[in-house]
Amino acid sequence: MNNNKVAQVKTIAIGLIVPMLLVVGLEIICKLEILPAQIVVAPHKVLITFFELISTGELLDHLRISMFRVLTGFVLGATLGFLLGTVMALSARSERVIAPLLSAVSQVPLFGWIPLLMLWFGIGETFKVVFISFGAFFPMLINTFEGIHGVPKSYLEVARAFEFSTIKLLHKVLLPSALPSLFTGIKLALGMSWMLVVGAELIAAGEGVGYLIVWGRQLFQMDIVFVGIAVVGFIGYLMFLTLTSLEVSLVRWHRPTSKK
Amino acid sequence: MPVLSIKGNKTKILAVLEGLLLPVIIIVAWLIFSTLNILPKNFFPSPKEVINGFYEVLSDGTFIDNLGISVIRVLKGFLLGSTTGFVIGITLGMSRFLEKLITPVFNAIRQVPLPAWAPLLVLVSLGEMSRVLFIAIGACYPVVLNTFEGVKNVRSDYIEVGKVFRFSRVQRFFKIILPSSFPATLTGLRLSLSISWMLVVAAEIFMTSGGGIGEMMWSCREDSRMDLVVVCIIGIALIGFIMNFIMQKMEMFFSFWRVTLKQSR
Amino acid sequence: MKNTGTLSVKNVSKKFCVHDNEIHVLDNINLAVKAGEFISIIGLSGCGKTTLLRLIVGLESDYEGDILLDGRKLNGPSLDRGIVFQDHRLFPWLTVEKNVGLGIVGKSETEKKEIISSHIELVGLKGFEKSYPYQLSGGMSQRAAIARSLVNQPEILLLDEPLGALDALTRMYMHQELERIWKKENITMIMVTHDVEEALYLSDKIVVMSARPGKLQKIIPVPLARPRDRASVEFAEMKEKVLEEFMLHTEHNFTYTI
Repeated sequence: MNNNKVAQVKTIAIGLIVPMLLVVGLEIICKLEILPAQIVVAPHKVLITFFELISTGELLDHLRISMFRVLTGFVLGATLGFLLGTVMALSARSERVIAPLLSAVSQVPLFGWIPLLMLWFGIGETFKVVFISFGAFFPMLINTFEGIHGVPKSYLEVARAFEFSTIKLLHKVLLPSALPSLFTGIKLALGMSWMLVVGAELIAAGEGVGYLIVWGRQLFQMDIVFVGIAVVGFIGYLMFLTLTSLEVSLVRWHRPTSKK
Repeated sequence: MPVLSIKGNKTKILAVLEGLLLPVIIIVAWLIFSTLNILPKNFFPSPKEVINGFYEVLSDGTFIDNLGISVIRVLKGFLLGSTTGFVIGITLGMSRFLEKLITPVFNAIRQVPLPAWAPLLVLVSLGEMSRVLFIAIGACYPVVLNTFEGVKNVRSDYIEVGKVFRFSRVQRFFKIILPSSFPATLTGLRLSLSISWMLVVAAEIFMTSGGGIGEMMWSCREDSRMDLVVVCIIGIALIGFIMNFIMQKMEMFFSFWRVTLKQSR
Repeated sequence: MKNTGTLSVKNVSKKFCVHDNEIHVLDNINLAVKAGEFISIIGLSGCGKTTLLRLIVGLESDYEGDILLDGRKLNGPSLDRGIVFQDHRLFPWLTVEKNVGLGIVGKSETEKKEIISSHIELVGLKGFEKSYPYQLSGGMSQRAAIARSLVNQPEILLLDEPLGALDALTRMYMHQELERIWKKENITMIMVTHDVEEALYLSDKIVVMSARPGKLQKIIPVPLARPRDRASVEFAEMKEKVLEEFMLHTEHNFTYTI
């Protein structure tokens, strides 16, 4: 036990070496003005800017707006994906009818939809929410379909042998068996949504964390850009962690999927 | 066998017909609505307009030129990102110390949503290199992750065979670790190329003035040329599909022994 | 008969540490193997027979006692000892001939080709040189693995339950094949198995091990003439004798009537 703890501390210590070297190196580079201030910024300055943005409430405002967009888009896209995925998994005919069209549509790289969506919905909130929902839709659809479609035949035979009703079948067999896959879908969908909200805010927004980064760029303030990048990364990670712990408590019999 | 395959063909044809149902309905509805002028023209261009637009950009060469620029750009970013990713993945997989040293930093950086790198790269202002780097960042992750897993998952049984034959470290790497992890790397490469293709469009929208199909789409939007936007979307989707197809075939070709291994067990 | 390939195991003990608990896997093992002998080690699972084999190959270290091959102390794996694993462990990405040629060192390309083809012929896989492992049956895979382990002309061939994964009929066929290869190559073979019939059919001596800690329980010589007949009375008697060691022999009930 004790040996394990020592090894753990050692692992963490080794992991801290590179970040520490980076911080020290950047500080030295900035102090000696080796590279132009437009390209590098001292870590302590980033930290100061971070606290400034917090204390003025700016950062939280931006975050709140981005979060709202992400959640609306995610809920919209994931719900649609879930419903369509379920229908396709339960009816082979609907799969044959819908799947080819969907796979053709999914060939378009997500960012390729931006110009079209902007022409249709303008540059306001509707555009962002629809764009984000695109990102949530496909991963949710695919994983719902695979989760339900992939329920082992042997389990279904058990259900048939015990003459389960449709509701009991759904509740006792299909849903629990598909749950790990559903969670994978939710995680991927939320991650994708978070990526797209940042993307959408880069090109068409007056607020939101993505806009914060663009704003910093326009002011040539590298510290703001870095604060934005770090916050966006951290929040994305927090969302992932929350979902994983939710998964662990809900799906006790299955190991959670790691982020890929 | 032959009887079966005829029956199989019949159901196959039926499945294809069923799959064509929705697209056909959509196209017919599009035709009817646009000839009846029910839909606003600048939101839904008629099929005729799209075809004319396609002919227009095809004959003045802008379509092919811009697609070419994007393809070259994506290949640059993909090659840069995936080679770097391969080296990182192998290194982290082979050395426990480097794994502990680098993995936390790598994972932290990976949390940043890819678009967020664009403004930073614009500030660094490297011109074309900014766009290539932007693609390379996204291209690198899946190759690192898959190669790393591939190396970590090399069966210790095989390593033992190498010990029995007294393989050197170099021999062990080239005769066991590399071939055994290669299918995983290929999966990473396929994912990597499809992410690269998504990012090239983003790069061309976020960091304009280098040409490319994304930028062409962007300026068509500014001119409200909906028909050309649709042409570009179809072009992008088609190239993406072809790239993915090639990578899938390659993956199957190089990892035949793994696929069939799974089936036989 | 050659005089290389003698093995002596002297006072060998081996412990494993699992969660700070010491487990005695092998306890004071003594064994002498003559050149060209076929020895089987049999015992229940967990008796340390595979560990003993891995010690002899050199895949495990940190043991007490000495293991000597032709009087020299062992130091790690070496090409003078070949091994066939239970799961054939052919590399799935290589063809049969590439797999067989895997361990050949210090030979020219033409010599290499010759060695490969002669060994493929030896194990009866001619015509399958270009096949991949997934295209082979279990028995064929194990043949290829045997060929691979023989290419460096080891003095001793160690076999770790080599036929354990095969079906009963294929296994009997492989017994004949193993005996043929053993005679032709004229080398020492040590086989770990839990199949009493297999051990009886092939071995000059059977080493019976007991479990926890792994100890040498008894060495039973098998003086039957080769090729052996599984249906003969002598064979059945020998089998009873071995099974007695595991308390599995048939009890003959005597009824006394007055």
